[in-house]
Amino acid sequence: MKLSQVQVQHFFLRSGFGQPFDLIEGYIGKNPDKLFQDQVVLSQDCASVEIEIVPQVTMEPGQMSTDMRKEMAQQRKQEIQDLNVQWIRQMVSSDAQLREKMAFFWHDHFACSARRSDIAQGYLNVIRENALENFGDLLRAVSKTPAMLNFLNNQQNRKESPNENFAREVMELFTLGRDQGYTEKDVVEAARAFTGWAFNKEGKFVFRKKFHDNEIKTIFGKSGNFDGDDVINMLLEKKQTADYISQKWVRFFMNYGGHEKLEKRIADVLYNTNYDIKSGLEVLFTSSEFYGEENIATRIKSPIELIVGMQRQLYVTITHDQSLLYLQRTLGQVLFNPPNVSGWSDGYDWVDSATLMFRMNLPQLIFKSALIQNYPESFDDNDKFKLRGPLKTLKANIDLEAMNNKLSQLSNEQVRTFILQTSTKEHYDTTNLIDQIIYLMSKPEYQLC
Amino acid sequence: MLSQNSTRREFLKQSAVVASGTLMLPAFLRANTTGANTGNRLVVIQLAGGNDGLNTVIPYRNDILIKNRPSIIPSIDKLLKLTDEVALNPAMEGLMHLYDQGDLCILNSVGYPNPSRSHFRSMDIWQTASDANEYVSTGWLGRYLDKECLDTMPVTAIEMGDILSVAMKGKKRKGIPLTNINQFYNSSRLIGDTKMYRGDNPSAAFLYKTQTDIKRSANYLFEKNKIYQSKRTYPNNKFGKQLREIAEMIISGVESPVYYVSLSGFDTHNNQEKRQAQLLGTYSQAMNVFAEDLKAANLWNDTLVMTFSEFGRRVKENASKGTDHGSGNNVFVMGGNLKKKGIYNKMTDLSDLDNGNVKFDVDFREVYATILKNWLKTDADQIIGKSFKSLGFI
Repeated sequence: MKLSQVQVQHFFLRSGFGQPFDLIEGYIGKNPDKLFQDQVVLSQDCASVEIEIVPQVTMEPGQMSTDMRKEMAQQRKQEIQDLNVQWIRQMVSSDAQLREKMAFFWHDHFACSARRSDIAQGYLNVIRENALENFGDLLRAVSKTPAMLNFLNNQQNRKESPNENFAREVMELFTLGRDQGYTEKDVVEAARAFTGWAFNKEGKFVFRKKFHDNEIKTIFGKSGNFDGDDVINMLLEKKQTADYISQKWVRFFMNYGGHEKLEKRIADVLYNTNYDIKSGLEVLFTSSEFYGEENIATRIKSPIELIVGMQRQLYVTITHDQSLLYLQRTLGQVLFNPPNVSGWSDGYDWVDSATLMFRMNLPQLIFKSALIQNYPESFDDNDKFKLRGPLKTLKANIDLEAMNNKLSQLSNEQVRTFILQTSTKEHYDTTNLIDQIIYLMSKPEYQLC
Repeated sequence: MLSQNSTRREFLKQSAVVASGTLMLPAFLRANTTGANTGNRLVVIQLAGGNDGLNTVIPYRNDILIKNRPSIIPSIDKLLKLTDEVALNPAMEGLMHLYDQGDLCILNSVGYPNPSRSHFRSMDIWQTASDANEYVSTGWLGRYLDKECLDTMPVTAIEMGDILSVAMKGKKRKGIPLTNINQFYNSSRLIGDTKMYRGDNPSAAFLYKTQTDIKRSANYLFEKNKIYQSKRTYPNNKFGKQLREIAEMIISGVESPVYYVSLSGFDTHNNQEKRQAQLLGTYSQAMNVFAEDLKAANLWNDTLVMTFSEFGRRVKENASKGTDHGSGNNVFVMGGNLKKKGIYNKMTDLSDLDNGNVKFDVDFREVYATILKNWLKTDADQIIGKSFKSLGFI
């Protein structure tokens, strides 16, 4: 299969956050295997997302003055914001696009928010380092991050008073899918197996023996003195886990409606390779189904895909941290702040009258420094992502020289196809490249990828 | 447009043509131009941040309360006494006035089983009407729109603010968030020509349709809103302006069955008394002016206002003269057509707490069920997704 411009773009928009035209151009006429393998090689790299973290003060809470506590809280808030912003910058600048996109997918799959920046960073490292490797390892590692132990209350899961939150979500959200192959009883018993999984003050996983329930549990019809690792093994043994992951992938990367046959092929490979993520993704991204017309430009860019993709494609750099946070908030997707444990609601849910108008006005804010009209409020004093105050304009750099060098030699149709991912005939009759770009980006089609 | 008796709709259409150009629609007509097939409209007010209900509707003689709150209860002589036992926060003269006129019903101890003390989670639960362990991506009002809203309606439901709350998100239909009508209109003008999409990409078709809907709603609101401008004094702040705008829309004959607005800042972990009083003052004054506006236009009788907060606060105050996240809270219902006026149910029993927290007596979904069934005349069970009993306040 030789790929067209639109198909090459399709691959890069879905498996990553999009590419500038010169890179696209080089792949036109190549086959899917070549695209995928190149991405795998580039994605071996896993630079970590670095921020400066002021170490936790080891003082009893009672000894700390109110001012000191406030200052520390402020510092943590700043660090979480830094982590959010640096991660976005990483998505924008990294060549390891497949890894970055997968880490983004896993952040939604293993939805989690954290107040402590060190544990948030630990969680981020885990999903980025394991993004393309082995799903079993990823699942086990995420489950043991303090961020997740805290978020799903396993810290409070003790022999005398089991907390079922983690046990439920590990089945419902991470492996089997809601009501698919487990019972309430399995949840209750699995919660007992996870008792004692906790983390210490330093933010490290610990197994607290004295809180662990050492009795016999019966899970999925098997009885034994199981612990948390045993439950995770049992979940991975179930083919349903591979099925569920595959279904989520196809719906996220290919088509909202899913594709039964392809899902089965991916799930089989995933299961037979003992959950090798790359092998599963290879089936998806090299399948003929993936490149089918009915999948092209049908996905509504999630806010993060929009914010990152625009910068990657169009020589734009949003330089200002608050601008990046503002965009996430206004568009409705803030990293490290999913709406709930089941992650973001994808698809048409991104669009309402306010977000669509904002999206269509975004090129004006970026390229013309238009004045900002909306300001999302916060109602929580401890809101980690509260903005410092209203913004007047977005602060972005545009590399005009690079843009002119690359794009001005292209035909109108090439520019149009590049930006809109469709071969519509219409274009704005202008010789000014920026005006042309703004015109195209303001069309509804630009919201699709 | 909401499903409506067709002859009346025809009549209204013709009347609108006749009435355009005049400043005021006749009152008898305006009273019937709300979208719902009942002519009833709902205004939902969200006190965001977790309002301290025990310092809003205060059981001021309760020893347990007095003992647990040495520094945050307002002084007894300033309280606005409703009964021998219950008083409103001194900042709430406006609400006191509504109470005296029989326009207010106070429900105590409203909550749900296994309450969450996270703002976001609890707000989510209230807005989606889900159970505490259930995650739903549509809101109760959004599902109402899905069920009752027709494609031909110029507006669905209106939320004052920059971001649409999940409460207003349905599967097919969503409310319209706007800061104010002029800004909404101006932004909508940036959308180019909204021609029909002719391709076969369903996502593109959806975006084009949304775009067309925005234009239509914006034009409609902009035209309608010239009709009535309030001369009353609303509080000079954001919430006051939002309430004024809602009143103006309603009186101008905007056919929206639901309005939604949020007042933020109730997360009073420290120095609560003054901060909360300020917010309650704004809320209460705005509600009173709003009611006056609608009464003068003869529209108060088919308006119902419901006020809630995502949770109440702990009975015991903390060391910073504030209160921490709790559960169970009061809900206010207002309107000119209440069946039950005054205090709906008994005050919270402070001697029977759950870990220092108020136990709930009324499930908030019973309040929703009552409103959906008795006021908006729709299938409450289907919209909520479960059956809840109706309460008799409306």
